Amino acid sequence: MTGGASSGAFDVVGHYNKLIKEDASISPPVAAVGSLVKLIELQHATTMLEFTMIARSACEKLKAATSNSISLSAGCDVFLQQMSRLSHTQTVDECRRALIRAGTEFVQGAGKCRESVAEFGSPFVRDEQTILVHSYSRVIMGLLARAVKQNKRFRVYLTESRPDQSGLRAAEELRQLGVPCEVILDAAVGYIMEKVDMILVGAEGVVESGGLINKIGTYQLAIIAKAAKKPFYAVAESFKFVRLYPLSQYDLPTYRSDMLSFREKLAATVDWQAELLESNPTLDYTPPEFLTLLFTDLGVLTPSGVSDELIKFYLD
Amino acid sequence: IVLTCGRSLTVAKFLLKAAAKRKFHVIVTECAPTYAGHEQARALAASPNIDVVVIPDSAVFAIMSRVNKVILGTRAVMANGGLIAIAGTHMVAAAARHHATQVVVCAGPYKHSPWFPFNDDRFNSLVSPDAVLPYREGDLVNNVDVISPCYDYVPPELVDIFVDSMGGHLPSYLYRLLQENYGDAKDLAWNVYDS
Repeated sequence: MTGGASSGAFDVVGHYNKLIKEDASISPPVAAVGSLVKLIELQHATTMLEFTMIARSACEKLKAATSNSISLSAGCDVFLQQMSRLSHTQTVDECRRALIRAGTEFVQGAGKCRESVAEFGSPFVRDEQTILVHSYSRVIMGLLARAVKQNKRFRVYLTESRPDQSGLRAAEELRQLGVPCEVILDAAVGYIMEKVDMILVGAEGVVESGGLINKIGTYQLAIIAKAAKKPFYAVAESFKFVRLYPLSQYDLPTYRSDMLSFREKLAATVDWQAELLESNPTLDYTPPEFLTLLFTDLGVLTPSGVSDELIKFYLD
Repeated sequence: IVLTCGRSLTVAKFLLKAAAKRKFHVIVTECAPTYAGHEQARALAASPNIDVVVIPDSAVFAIMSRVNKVILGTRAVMANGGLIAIAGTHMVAAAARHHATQVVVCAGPYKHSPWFPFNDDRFNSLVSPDAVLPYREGDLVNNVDVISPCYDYVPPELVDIFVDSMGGHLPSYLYRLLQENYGDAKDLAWNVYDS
């Protein structure tokens, strides 16, 4: 029995989509690991090589289905790394059981991950502060909710965060918590920067250099923050650390050469809004010199500490 | 020509050791209202190879163009590389940055703190303002708020190198030293953060 035949029976992408739909608060890498665990439970490889190949091809399928989502790739890499770590000493069955156990623990622990991040990050939110938040991030919502529970009084500016306008969703959630919010245009960040005490952003991925991959708009926010000498904090769980080292905006795996490439628009009328939504990037890269600190479940880190954590994880 | 701020035993020992083999000038800021700089000047003047000059804190920017190196002591070093040092140090560091002068901080590993400076007020204390505005001046004291903070927070961007008993380190390397001394962040009692 070949590996292809057995993994074809279980639709890993379908299961992933199901997990995402079921739980609104689940993040892509956690759902990915959840689907991979299910795959491992159901398939019957007899050799380590077959086992590895099945897992790898499932990861490729997931990455392709989500157009190379960075955080999902990070989650898959965590899973594969765990697998290679367990594969050296055990038989296929034992490895499978250990992997299922580790994967399930990871999925269940992901919620606690967010709580740890909130615990490390919430002391930085003080009374009478004005915070600027970019886009919607579950980790940031958790952090601010914890600060509210600690009876801290603060106000939040949220960027609208086009094109998906996720800032509006974040504003509504914060309003329910009783935090005064204002939604600002993405273009109004420079205008508002003087009134802001600190900036909080989430992360799709944290790269080896300590830089950040996040929703488009984060890079220019960071540049303005540095010019205005405001602290810029990134909030990320440790499974979002990826083994990438981008040297420019166009080094990201999500880059497509047809993005903003001056294609000929020969039609009689052009729907510019649709053009915009189709050809604009959704992620950008923020170099580490713009980050003040990173709040992770491993503790508060300086950007230079990230590569150390990555080495510890991958070379153990 | 070296500039230093206030009184620090570490820096005094450092400079006296250096004076064993070479002659140089040291400018000491007096650090009002405690005037600890005067003590430092007295300690440094013990060496025949050091020419000591005491300046008021307000003259730091004026004098900085003639300074080759700034050597500072500190009360504590924070986990991000920032300093909690005697009031007046931030001004010295900022003046040095403006003139592109190197800032060396001498601090033993026992001064490294695993905390991040999340709160400007938490790491400072106010001492009696009597030294700034004496209580004798009754009318003025009634109408004026006098604050005399003990410490300054110096951001890590203003420090070039940390020197301790293990050698020289960049501020961005501090996390590593902290990991070796204190272990993982998760092992520390982080609940002390919440006030």
